[in-house]
Amino acid sequence: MADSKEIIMVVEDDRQIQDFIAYSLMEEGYGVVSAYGVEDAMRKFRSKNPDIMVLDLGLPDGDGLDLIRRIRKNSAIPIIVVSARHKEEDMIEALDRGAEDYLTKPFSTSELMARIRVLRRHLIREERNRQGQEASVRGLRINFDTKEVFLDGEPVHITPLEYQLLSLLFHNIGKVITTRTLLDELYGVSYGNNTQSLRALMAGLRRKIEKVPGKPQYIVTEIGVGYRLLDE
Amino acid sequence: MDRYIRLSGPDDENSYLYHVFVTLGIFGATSLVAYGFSLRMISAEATIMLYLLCVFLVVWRTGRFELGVLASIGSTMVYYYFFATPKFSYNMTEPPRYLVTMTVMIVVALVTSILTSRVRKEAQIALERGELNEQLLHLNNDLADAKSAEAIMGVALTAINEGLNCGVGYVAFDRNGTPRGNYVYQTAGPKAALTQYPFHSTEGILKWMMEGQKSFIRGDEFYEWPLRGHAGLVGAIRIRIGDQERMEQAEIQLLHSIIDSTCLALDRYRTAELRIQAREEASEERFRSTLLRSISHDIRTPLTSICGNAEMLMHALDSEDLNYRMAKNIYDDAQNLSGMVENVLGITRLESGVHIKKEVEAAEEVIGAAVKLTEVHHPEYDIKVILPDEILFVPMDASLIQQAVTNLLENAIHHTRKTDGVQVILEKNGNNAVFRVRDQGKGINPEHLPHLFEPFYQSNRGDTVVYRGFGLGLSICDSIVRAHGGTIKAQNRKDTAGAEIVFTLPMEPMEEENGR
Repeated sequence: MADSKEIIMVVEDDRQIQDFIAYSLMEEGYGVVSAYGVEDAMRKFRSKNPDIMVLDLGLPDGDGLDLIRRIRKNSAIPIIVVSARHKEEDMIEALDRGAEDYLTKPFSTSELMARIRVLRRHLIREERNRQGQEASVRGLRINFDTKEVFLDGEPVHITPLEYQLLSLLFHNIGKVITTRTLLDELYGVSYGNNTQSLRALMAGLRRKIEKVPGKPQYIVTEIGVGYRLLDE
Repeated sequence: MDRYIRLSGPDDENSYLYHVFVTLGIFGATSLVAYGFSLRMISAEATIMLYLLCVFLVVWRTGRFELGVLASIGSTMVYYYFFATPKFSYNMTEPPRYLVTMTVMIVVALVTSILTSRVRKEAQIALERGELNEQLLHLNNDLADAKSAEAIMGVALTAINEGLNCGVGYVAFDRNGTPRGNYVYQTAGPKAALTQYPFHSTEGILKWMMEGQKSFIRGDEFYEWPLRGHAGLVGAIRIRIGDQERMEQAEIQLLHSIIDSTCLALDRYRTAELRIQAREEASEERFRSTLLRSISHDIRTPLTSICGNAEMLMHALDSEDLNYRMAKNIYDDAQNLSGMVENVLGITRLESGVHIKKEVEAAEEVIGAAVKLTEVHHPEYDIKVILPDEILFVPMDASLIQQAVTNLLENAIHHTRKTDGVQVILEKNGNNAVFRVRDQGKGINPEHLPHLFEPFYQSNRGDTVVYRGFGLGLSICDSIVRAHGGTIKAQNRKDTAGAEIVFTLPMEPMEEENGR
């Protein structure tokens, strides 16, 4: 096991999927711990202390959400949940409860690797304990102190709410943010379920920062889940 | 077989002689008792009361007023001769006395007669009604037991035969209210026969039967009694004009009751049939969708590892290597399969009868997501997206519409080799959002056009790769769009070679937003 990169725990009951995930992770230099069920996962979590977790929600011996709850009691380990069904309520709830990102089967190894890379970067940033004044991805740059946004060097005029949205996306760059989380952060928890305002806000922001608003390159919509600011 | 209703005629089975004897008997008994009173020195008033009782009893038992009068006269005479003082003689010096007594007795006889005959009549009516109800109950039981519409009608016809002692005809109407070509007629009596005859009737009568309110109408040969159920005209019962005009009020009412009961039975039967049918359909649907869902789930898991393994092989090999090509084929096939699973699941969701849950979405977002997904699978293609300036908010199930657009894009890609020839256009037209997916392939052969959206229909259009799939993609788009209340259409482009598929979704008026 390479010790320069993180240890990733894969909780998945299907052997074939375990195998190919483990193999591709090890190819990339990650350490891998395999668990095949909820209790197996809890035990190995305590003993091996992994850095990132990939968790299949369709485990036979327990509830993935419950596992997340137990782990979150004393660990902030980033978790990617995997599900065979799109937009499964469990998956969205998992995200709201503390999972960082998700994958739906069938997924490709490149998607998995991309998600893990994102989580690594966030881990590293947290370890260095700073976000810094600025963040940028390709041509888009945001300054957290002056609250300014630049696209390809040119300043972009955005409203305070649009700035807040963008700043949230940048703080979670590469990871999915659920619609629920965005509504809570931007409009407050008591706003209710009116997603239309959020959609309008997002559409307005896209028209300002995307070359072709219909083919967004920065902020993508994950239908049924939320939004993601792509970092590569 | 006297099971069914028989209306009773006049009830008087006893002969007149019988009543005379009864009278004499009561009279005799009364006199004996009176004699007994006189021996005991019981007063005269008691005795006269006794004879009053006698008159009352006579009228009550015989029901005949004239016998009551006779009893009154007889009582008076006997009383005044035998019991009143002076005994054993008629005191002719006081004629008013016994005249008055006699008159009073006669009046009592009259009143009693009226009263008792009314009571008797009412008792008679109650008895008849009771019998009638009981027999209607039998009829209803038989109707309830009947296992088919024909059996119900058979019971009804026989009941009319027997209860009313006349022949009866029946003509059935189909769902649209048109009568069948033949009607049946069942004659009454020991040799009841059911015969078919051709049905003729005039426009006016038919129209009236559909719309009219009253129970029957006079036709040329028959009185027609329509049977009206929930769903409309079911049939009509026919009684010969002569037969019906011979019937009394009570018999007409009986006919009414039978026909009402029959209508109810037919309705009940039909409703039960429909309910059973609906239940069967529902459970078939549930079974089918559960089956499809679990199959899809069980396919997706191994697909993941096939895709994953193929990908890893591709990474491990040089792209010039023959093995790389094989790995890529495996990967592409797995992707294809994955697309089919999506479509199959899509059908499940739509056909299980679940109403789609609409939320207001920005149409451009859904398009963007679909385009991105498609470009990931076909990176060599550059899909153009054209949006209007205003943001179109459309109520929809985002993932279904995304799937529809994805399917249309896949369809466009598979019919054109030109990598920049695929476009998606979003427009507003009145109260509709219009989605256009265009390609620059060879266009659609007109003979395929009417069938494009049929399930499993596969057209091999000239210029390209055979699209391997179930042929479900377009029919799913059709189902999705229609489930949203929209329309979908395929046509060849006018501005250039190629095809275009257009669908619309209704936009509801935007609600007022609070504090945006």
